[in-house]
Amino acid sequence: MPTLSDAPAPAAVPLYARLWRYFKGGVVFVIVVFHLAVLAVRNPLDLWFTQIRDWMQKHPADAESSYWDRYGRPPTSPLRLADTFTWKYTNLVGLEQRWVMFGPPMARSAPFLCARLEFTDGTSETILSPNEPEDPTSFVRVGGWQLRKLEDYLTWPPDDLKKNAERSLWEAFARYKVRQWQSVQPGDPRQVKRIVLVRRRVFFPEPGQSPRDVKSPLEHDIAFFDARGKLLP
Amino acid sequence: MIRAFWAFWTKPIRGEALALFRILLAVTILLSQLSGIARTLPETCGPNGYCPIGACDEWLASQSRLSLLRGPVSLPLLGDWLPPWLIQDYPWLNHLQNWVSPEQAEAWARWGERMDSHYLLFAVFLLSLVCLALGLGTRLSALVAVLLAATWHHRLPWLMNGGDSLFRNGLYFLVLAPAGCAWSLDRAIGRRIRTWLGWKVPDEPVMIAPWSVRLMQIQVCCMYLFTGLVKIGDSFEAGSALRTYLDWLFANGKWNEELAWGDYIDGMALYWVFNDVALTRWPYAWLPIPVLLCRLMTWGTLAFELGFSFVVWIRPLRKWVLLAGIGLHIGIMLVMEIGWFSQVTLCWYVLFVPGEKVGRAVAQFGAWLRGGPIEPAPVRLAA
Repeated sequence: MPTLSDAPAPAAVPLYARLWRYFKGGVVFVIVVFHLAVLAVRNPLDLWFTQIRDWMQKHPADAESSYWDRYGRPPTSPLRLADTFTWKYTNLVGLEQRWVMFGPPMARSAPFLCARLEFTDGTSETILSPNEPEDPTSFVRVGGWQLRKLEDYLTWPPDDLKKNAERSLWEAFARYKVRQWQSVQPGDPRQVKRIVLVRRRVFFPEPGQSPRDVKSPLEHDIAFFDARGKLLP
Repeated sequence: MIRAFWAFWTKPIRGEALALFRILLAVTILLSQLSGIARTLPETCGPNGYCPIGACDEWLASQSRLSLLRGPVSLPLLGDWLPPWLIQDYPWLNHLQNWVSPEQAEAWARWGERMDSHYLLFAVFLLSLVCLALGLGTRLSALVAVLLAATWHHRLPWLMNGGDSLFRNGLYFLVLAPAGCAWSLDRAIGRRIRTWLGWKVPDEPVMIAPWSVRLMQIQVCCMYLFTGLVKIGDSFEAGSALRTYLDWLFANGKWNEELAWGDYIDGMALYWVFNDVALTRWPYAWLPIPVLLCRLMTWGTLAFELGFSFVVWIRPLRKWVLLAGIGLHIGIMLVMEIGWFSQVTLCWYVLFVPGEKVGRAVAQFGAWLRGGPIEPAPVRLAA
């Protein structure tokens, strides 16, 4: 019967194999720690950047430098450096966080974007959004989520739209609405004089009200364009 | 405790769950692209499209976002990607950027403005997703998919929602993970080559290092936890609840009594969601859910989102948490038209299922499809 001392000695692992294993382990360790740090930093900051920064600039109140250096150029506080680096990294590789799904306050109204085409003969036509149901108490919706996202964005233009870098987005949408109208009314001889983008808000019934008690949409002109789709002041 | 922590990160796990995640995610993204961007590409990106290509150039450059249709913007080494203050302090770092000359960058951007460039990159994106699903050149396919998903996400940022962000996260992690370890052409080809060379072809189940799967699981937990946290308080953007927590925890230990709790705590959030005629598939008037039920569903959703990250790690409860999540997301999918968000989220759930179970379930499904006998699940005998 073989004794323990007769058992073959385990084959010695060559040095290069051991070094390679340690190297791989080290790389994995760095990758894991890095990603955990990215998740820990970005999740709160992507949601509440302003609030956290403002709070950290004020605290600790009795210290010479705050948790978040206010004026440092380049940034010196570790938190600010971590924010800058992780923000750039996540934006670059697509690891953005900012998980807000149906965040409060909940909408009490639904905005839809429509276009009013005003013609040289004084008449006008209104083109409703394909997402806006004719009757808000009777509809079925399949698809159209991407157009809804875009219209959601366009219904609230910035105050300084004239100087905004994204102005061309609103102008292109105005032109698109004209083309849409021309494709359904190809023989219409009227000339477009002005395009108006209009926000139509459908307000939801309050709890306790009849669910069929949906009032007519509230309209608000949000931007004006000339016939070629150029933003008017 | 330390041993459990170490095992969590290092003890090899079966690779089937990761492989199934890869396949499900790639197929889901493929379908989302075919039913989304593909259908409206000429309208959005065409010569007179309503999403002009230059509209977000400033945003791309200022936020370090890349788009292969806009030249080398934000691309490491090729473009302007390092912060100016860093270059000021260490001028030699300038050698690590702008490898593409301004003329070449301009030519690249002009190429990106053409419609055929859009079609080309979209076709490559779809092809990379097909290859990813099949597990052909898995890591390279995932990398190409990451780059092109970013390109399209940043070409049409106004059309994207949470589902698009979540699938980009998934693609990123698939670059890090050995996602082609099972059920892939890579593996099949590798085995064929080994056989041809006369090398040993192991028949044991594929075991992988767990860390990439753990990171993905933690990503899902972060998503639920933070989407739950933003729901506490009256307005997540005002951050009133957050300021109260910070003061309470770190500063003065005082609780702000005037904090307004908002729609989720008072239970009316889902009432307003069901009434949102821009989101729902049918009007609330057709199925007026009683307010009490709306409240219970709101609180249930909040409890699920806040609790998921903690309860999912408790093995006996995991199945129930995942089933609750499946119910929640199927509910969202049925009631609301918000694209592919629920489907993409559900893909991630498979990462919480042990590879053994995934392997067995897929084998049983395959046997059922072939009409053969279904292998019974192993029975645990009482001691």
